[in-house]
Amino acid sequence: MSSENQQKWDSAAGLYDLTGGFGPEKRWKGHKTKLFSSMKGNILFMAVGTGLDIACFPQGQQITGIDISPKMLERARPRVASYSGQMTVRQMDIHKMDFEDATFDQVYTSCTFCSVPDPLKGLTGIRRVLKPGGTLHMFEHTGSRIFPFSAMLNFMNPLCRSLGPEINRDTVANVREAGFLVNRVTNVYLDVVKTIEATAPAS
Amino acid sequence: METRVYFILGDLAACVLAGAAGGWLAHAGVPGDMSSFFAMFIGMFLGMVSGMICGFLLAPFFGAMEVMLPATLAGMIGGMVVAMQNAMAGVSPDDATWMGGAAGVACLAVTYFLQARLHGEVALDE
Repeated sequence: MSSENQQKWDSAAGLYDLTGGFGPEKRWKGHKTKLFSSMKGNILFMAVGTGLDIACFPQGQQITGIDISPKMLERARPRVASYSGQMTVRQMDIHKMDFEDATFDQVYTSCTFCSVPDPLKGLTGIRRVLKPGGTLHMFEHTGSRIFPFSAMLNFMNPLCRSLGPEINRDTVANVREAGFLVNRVTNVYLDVVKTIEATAPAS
Repeated sequence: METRVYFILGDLAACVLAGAAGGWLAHAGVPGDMSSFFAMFIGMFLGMVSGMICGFLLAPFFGAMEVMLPATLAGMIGGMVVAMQNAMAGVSPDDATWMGGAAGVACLAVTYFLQARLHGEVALDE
């Protein structure tokens, strides 16, 4: 599963900035900047991709970024190098993170859990590497509860999945199921694009 | 609510194009002598597919979900309206395209209304 997923994102790396770097990023930049403005402490950023989100990071933070695709990370390196804080990136599968337990104060995701093959396993892994009381901050697109958007997302999902992301997941429910306490959910576009803020409870 | 002119015009262009394409395709692909009930479903399907393609093509310029969802809706409704009208009373290809485009504008208005209602913090007991 990992190598198949890696190949999919390696293949997408060449066109990623072209398809996602202008319209979607410009549209979401304000929302992402606001979400990332709460960065503090030792931070893990999931699925760095080509590093488009780095432009939205506050200055001077200590950030570890991971991504499954080496080709994505190769494209991200200039953006990582120009970040004004301490940022390192590593190639790693979210399902098999080799960080120690309770390493990070905060974890951030940006359009990540549409693409993680086993979202519950990925979220459980995030909970493990977060310190008790550490926080998870997500910018994600999910399925919808509103007809006809719900039906349309289900209809489009097989095509989208073959190109990259799934577009009909219930990520808020997955976050709860992974054992997080959901503190806040904010709709950015309809009930599809949203920010999710959650806490890893002390076990 | 989106207030940037570039994106508002992009949303409008995507919905008009998707609706018009859906309308045209429904006119071309659904026989005029078919029952309007079946024509409605085939028109919806053809319109949805054409709207989805328009959405995918325009998403890099104007945003992902913000373009794909209204464009797919516009194509679906445009295709449905034209296929039913064509089955009941007959429509010219030009009128089918205009009707589809108008349906696209209506779909965008509905989407903007829903966005105004849904935007912001969600009650966590939902």
